[in-house]
Amino acid sequence: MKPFPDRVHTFNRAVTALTLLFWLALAGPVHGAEEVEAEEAPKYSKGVRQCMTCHREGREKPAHEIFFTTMGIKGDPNSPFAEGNHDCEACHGPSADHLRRQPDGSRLPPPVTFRKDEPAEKQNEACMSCHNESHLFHWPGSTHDLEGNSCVDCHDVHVADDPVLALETQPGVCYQCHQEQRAQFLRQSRHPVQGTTASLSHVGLLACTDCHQPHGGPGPANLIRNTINEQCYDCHAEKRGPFLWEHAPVQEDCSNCHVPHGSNYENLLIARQPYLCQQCHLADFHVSRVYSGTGIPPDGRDQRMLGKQCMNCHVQVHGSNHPSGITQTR
Amino acid sequence: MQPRIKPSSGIAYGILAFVLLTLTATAWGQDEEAEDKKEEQEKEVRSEIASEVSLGVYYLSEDSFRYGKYSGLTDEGFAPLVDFIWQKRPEWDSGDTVRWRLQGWRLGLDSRRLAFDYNDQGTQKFRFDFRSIPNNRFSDGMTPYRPQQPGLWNLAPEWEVAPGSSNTLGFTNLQETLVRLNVDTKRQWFDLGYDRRLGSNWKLDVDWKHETKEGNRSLGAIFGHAASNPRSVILPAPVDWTTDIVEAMFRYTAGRAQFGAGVYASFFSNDESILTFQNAYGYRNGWAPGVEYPDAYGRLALAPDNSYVQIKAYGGMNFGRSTRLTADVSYGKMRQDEGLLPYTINPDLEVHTPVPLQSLDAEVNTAMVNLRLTSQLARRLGLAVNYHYDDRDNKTPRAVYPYIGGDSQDQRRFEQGRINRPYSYTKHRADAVMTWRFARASRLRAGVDYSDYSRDYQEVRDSDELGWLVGVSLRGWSQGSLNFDYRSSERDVSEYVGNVPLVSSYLPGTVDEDEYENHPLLRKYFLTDRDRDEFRLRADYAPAATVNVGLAASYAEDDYDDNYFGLNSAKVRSVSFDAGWYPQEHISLTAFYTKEKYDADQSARGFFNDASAEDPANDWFVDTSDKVDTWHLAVTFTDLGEERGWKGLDFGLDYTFSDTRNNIDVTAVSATTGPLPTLQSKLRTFTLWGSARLSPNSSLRLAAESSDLTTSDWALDGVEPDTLANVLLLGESAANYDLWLISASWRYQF
Repeated sequence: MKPFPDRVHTFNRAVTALTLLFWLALAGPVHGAEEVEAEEAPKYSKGVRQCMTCHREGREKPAHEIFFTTMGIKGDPNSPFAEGNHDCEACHGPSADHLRRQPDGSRLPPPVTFRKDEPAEKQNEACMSCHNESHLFHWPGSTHDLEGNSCVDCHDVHVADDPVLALETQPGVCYQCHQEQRAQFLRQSRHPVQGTTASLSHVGLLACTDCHQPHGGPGPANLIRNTINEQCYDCHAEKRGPFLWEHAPVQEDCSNCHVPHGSNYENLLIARQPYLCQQCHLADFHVSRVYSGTGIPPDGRDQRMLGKQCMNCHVQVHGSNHPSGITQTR
Repeated sequence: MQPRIKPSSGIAYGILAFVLLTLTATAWGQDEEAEDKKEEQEKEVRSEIASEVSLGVYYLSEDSFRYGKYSGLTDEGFAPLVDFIWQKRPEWDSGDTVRWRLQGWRLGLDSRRLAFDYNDQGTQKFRFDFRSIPNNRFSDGMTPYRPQQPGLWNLAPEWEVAPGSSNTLGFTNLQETLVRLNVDTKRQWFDLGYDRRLGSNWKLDVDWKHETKEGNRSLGAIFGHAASNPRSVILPAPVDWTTDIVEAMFRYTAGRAQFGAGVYASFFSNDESILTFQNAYGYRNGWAPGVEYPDAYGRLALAPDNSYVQIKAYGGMNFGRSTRLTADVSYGKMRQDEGLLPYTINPDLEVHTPVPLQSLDAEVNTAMVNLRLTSQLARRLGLAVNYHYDDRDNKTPRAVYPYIGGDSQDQRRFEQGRINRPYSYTKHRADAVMTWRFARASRLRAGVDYSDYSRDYQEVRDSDELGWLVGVSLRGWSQGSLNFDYRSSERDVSEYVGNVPLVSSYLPGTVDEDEYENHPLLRKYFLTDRDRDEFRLRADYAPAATVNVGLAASYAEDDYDDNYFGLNSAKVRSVSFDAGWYPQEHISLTAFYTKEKYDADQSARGFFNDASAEDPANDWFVDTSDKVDTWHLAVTFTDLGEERGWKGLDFGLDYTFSDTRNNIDVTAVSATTGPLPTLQSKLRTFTLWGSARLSPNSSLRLAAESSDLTTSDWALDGVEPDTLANVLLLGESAANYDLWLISASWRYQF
């Protein structure tokens, strides 16, 4: 165990390093950091009607359903399809050259294709040139940004109903990368987020975005709230207190004892009673006694092994407001 | 149910448009065409109303409370199936900017949802969301208690206790007095939101969420306190909770800067915050006279009303094209001022000191600051620096509470009273991550993070954690991608003083400095030195347009000092394979398999005095091993037979199997231990479904689902209400069902 002064030095070193990085970044990009491309007059096509010639329903790359979405509304001055906003080319860039066949019969791609072989920065810049809403406030530097994800990795703007925006279909999009969570939502103790199918066995009543902000949030794990506990209290406010007799690990972090997505144990606990409790409570007599198969029928009948186990008596584990509730029993 | 887009208005018109478009497509790729043809193409993209309603029935082959845990479908027989979408989408070039959608899901079940969205694009949005969320625990509980009035539970009038008995063996007519009960809750969630643009840069967002949760939950109600004399009954405690959350934010967005400010307020109220119950037990040695059945009552304080009000602000500024500085701050107050109950409900017990406060007047101030700087230092080099500050300052008054054990004993002497410990903490966290882009779209990441955590009234005052990470994202190929991250961290804590919680909860001088409650060699896992290593891998590969495969793996290991008791190590490993095969346009086959393993080791020493606390012969150990296998297969055929003139036929099958085994191996140096059965949970779901189009606007859908849940739980299996001597249980069993669900529905689109 390190003595306290060493920790102060570690902290000071970390702060110094971060301060240097801060000023280095604030000094702005290094000379020549930004790509300077020759400015040419952009060559736009004649607009959406020309695009729809090929990208209509039934073709290999249909895009007609964009007109069912909020993006495809001419009357909204912020829409790519509003007067003067260049329609499809507002996102894909000036694409007049894309219309002309090359000698080999192929076509040049539009400047921004949103394909996987295109840098995420380039794709996202197209999106974020308009989408600067508050829910994207934390995007730069967020987990998904640092991993190099692009907006279209999750969003499909060319369909009438983007699956990631609907409660029932959203988890399926998230599960494409978060397979561990997909399996956890099939456990018997879980939050009711949609499982793998629309079956009533795995019915989804919550969306991932009821807790997470995938564009980056103020809390850990892209949570919407500032802390894990604040997020949990949104729906579990009865556990917020403040209580007369608090239980320290509860007030610190709900995830000290619970897993959020799914668990093998009731109430999303991370381990089984009484052993979970005994990881932190090792007092004399019954608290530190060893419990095993000798405490269950037919060999025994121990009250810490059957029924609600430790919580047969210690019922107020999230905090008690009874003047006699020091041991979380009242 | 998937929203479907209605085809163009009418088959004839669609065919006409298709023919016209086909004829003109090639020419448009090379030349400009006449204006009338453009008009035809424009019509092809016109938006239109795409609404639908599905009406039908579910048929469940047998009663199963647990099958309907979240769906609410619990009873054998028929239940209505009602879903609908009613919406209006503006025609894209009409100048109309208003769209709305009213949608209902499962309106015939307890898991119903109704949502309405109104969006006048660029001006205002209004939304309403109602969700009903059942949570069925079990339906086979049994109790001799009867509700007398809100918050008061009495035993059945014919309840009897054998003379001289002080445990469940003396409940002579228990079986005759038991009544069956369900333990379940239902949330109902009403959410109203309104967003309004105020000029070109300002915006107001307001949201109000009103949530009720009603039902009951199983809760232990204790009588007695001292060694070997506690007696408990498990009651269906009432749940009658209401939470209101209001959020309002003003936001400003201009080209280079964004900022906003607002408020978050959450108010919780409990309509039944006291639970009073009649003592079921006969007199027990150690109890004060007169606290046994039938005259004595016990009382619990349930969740108190509370509130949390937080003011929030954020701001961000771009410096040049590639540097951005953001900050968001919040300051809040949690309050709780429910009146405190007396030490006991039992008037026969001696109370020499009254409760020091009428109500707790509890208050916790919270403060949070996030600072983030992101910058593109060079064309390929990026930097993100974060600082996070989180403070919980608990202002709740401290006082001495000479408590009464379980409504059964006279009040403790004042100097034996306990002082509450209002926990506070302060966290600082800073991290920096650099990214380097290479090979067009790939990235390397490297970073460092440091956190510092200080607390009060706990065994450890300060802890810090230093971590580093590296990662790589290989992208830029149409055939595949790979993402890998590794992080290692080390947490160091200041001196672990195990008796701080004990000493700080007694009056100074009333306990010895070396007195302890927990064993001195215990180290709580969230308060001790820890080495953590974790990695996460994700790889996708699509060798052909019709095939894709994926691999995901994760590993996390926490290592604690095994010279101490408590959790010594924990390891989580997970690997997933998934694949998709699309041999034809209308056929898809997807599958995945996930294997997870969780292993944990803990150690302890059982003791009852100083001598036994020092004796290694009292040591015992627990090895926990969880294994979970999850399988899924889905095959889907869509639009079959259209080329043969059929009206369209979809069908498919889904198979999901989740198999969980938990083994706990308890060993001891000298104490006798016995093996524990494996805890098991197997959930198997097999669904066959088909959909046939009856007309351009209507279709029929049939589905048959076989669902089978098997669980074994040694804490519940074969355990009756009176199995334990000192606890009267509800006697519920572990969840099991094996049933069929058939559904038939007719869908009409308009």
